Amino acid sequence: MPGLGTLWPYIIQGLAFGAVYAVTGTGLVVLYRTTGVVNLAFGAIGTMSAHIAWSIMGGSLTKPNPHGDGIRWFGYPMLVIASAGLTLLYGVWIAPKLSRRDPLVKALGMVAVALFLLGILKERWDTSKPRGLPIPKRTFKVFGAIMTTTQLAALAFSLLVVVLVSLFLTKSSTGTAMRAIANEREVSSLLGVPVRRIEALAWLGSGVICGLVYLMLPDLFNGLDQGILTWFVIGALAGAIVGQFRSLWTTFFASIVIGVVESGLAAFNHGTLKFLGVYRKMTPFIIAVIAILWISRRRTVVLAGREMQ
Amino acid sequence: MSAVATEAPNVPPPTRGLAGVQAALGRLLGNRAFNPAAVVVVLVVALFVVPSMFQAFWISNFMQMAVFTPVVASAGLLYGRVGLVSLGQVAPYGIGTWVTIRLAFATDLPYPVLVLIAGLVAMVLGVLIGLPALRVSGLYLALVTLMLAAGVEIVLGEIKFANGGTGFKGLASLSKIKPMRRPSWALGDTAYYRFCVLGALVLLGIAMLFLRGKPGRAWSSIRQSEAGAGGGLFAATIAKNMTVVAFNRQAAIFLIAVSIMGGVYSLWGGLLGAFFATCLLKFLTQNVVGHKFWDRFQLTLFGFGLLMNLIQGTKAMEKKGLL
Repeated sequence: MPGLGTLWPYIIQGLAFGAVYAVTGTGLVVLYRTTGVVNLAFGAIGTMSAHIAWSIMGGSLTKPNPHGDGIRWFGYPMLVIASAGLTLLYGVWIAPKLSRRDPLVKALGMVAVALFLLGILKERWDTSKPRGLPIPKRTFKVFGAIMTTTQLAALAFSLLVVVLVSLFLTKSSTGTAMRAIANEREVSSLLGVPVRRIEALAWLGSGVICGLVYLMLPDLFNGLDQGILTWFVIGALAGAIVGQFRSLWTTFFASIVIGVVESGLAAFNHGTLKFLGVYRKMTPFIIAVIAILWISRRRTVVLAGREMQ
Repeated sequence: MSAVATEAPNVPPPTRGLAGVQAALGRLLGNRAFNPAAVVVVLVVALFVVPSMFQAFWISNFMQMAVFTPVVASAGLLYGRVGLVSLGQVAPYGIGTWVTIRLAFATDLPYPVLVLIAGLVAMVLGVLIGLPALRVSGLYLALVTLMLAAGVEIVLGEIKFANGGTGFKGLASLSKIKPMRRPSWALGDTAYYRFCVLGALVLLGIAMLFLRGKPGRAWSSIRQSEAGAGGGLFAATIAKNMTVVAFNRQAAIFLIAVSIMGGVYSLWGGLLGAFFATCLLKFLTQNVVGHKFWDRFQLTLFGFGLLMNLIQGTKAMEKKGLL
């Protein structure tokens, strides 16, 4: 059993990953609450945007880890712009065509987008070559363990996003409109709520969050691995499921716990408990399944008031 | 699953013995989706015309198509029949493949028995692992099954596929890797292709029997076993060193895409979906534009196809006043 001293660096790493899970979960929950869409293409859009930024910054086979020096710093904001643009494009162009279908079909629409983008990624950016998208960072020590500014930024950013989004949803008129649409889309429309505009705003917000997440992820993962980055969203879904796609704070805390447990188990790298370290990446899935068992104990499942059985 | 129960058709009273077999056969042959004449034509073409007309390259692709057909059908029918979308149907497929390969190296059991065991193990594990998933439906089921698929991918990626070694995993050092065995009477590609066609036919026949029954947990379990047995057939299509790539998360969503594109209301949809996934792309690769173009763009093609399918389906429902 590893001691706290051994665990501490893993916990710090886990806090950062949990924070990114939390931001991703927040983006998923807000979009689901407003539009009924589970954005399974979140990862594909983010990965595509990160690769666009990588190209803008001069990434190539001979320069797999480009830096944002000179005019190339423009790659970083372009990542967020590309992500927001791609998400908004789907939100205003394709999503309305499926708006009257149930959440399952809407989610399948996002699966289609994920496949679509994965093909382009494979064609345009060869998946077999290692590459990275480092962001300027520094390291410092926290109780003896090394922490990077990226990890700290991820933690601060996640907390900021959850606080701001919670305040936005409860205090602003647009947030109230979003909640109204989430509860009664048709009635809200009849009462004069500009449904399409509000939904477009939710798509845009989700896209911006996606871009900011994927600004940090390649650095946290030490590489621009298409497989890892694209399917990161599945792990992040676990937090949103625990929060039943409704509670931002539950999503936040669940995501942090998932990140810390997943990373902390890496410390079990020898002895009889070695299997915990080996299978640590299953943590989000196991926690999600346990959450579903708990949620479905009354044999009634409700996701943000949209789906009942 | 109340939603499932309400969609169940009138269920005939259970019958036993010879009468039961006759009733089952009657149900099988009486189903419009399994028109005996059409099945015989397809079977004759698959077993005799295809091997005589096509070269080894295409036989290999048709073999993959035969293997993939029951797997695609298992995913499609779940959606078309009871409205359940399982994004994790590659999990029993992968489990079936692993079990078959491991047992093929560890025992001398006849290959069809291995495929049968693969189907049973996939069904049992699928039900045990998916028990929580069986309590939910709709979007939640899709998400849970996707997570289960991701979990199985991690496990398979870790334990890897046996290659002639000893122990539970059956892994050998690089110099001692052995090829996967095939049935002694189907060693060549053409013979094994025919075996796969017959295997797929049996699996689709079983699926058809259950199509007339009451959809429920048992029905859902059968879908797992078909995918598992499909994995059993798949196991010997790769000579050496099976990898987890065929069962990863990308494969999971690829499978549901081709299922929906093929059609989810009939078993023929499984055949069409498998054709899209295996032969169509090879045809485009061989005859239209360059090799790498289609190879790399295949996911884009299927993503676009799935999206168009969903949009056109929505338009059709709106026209019929169903939305």
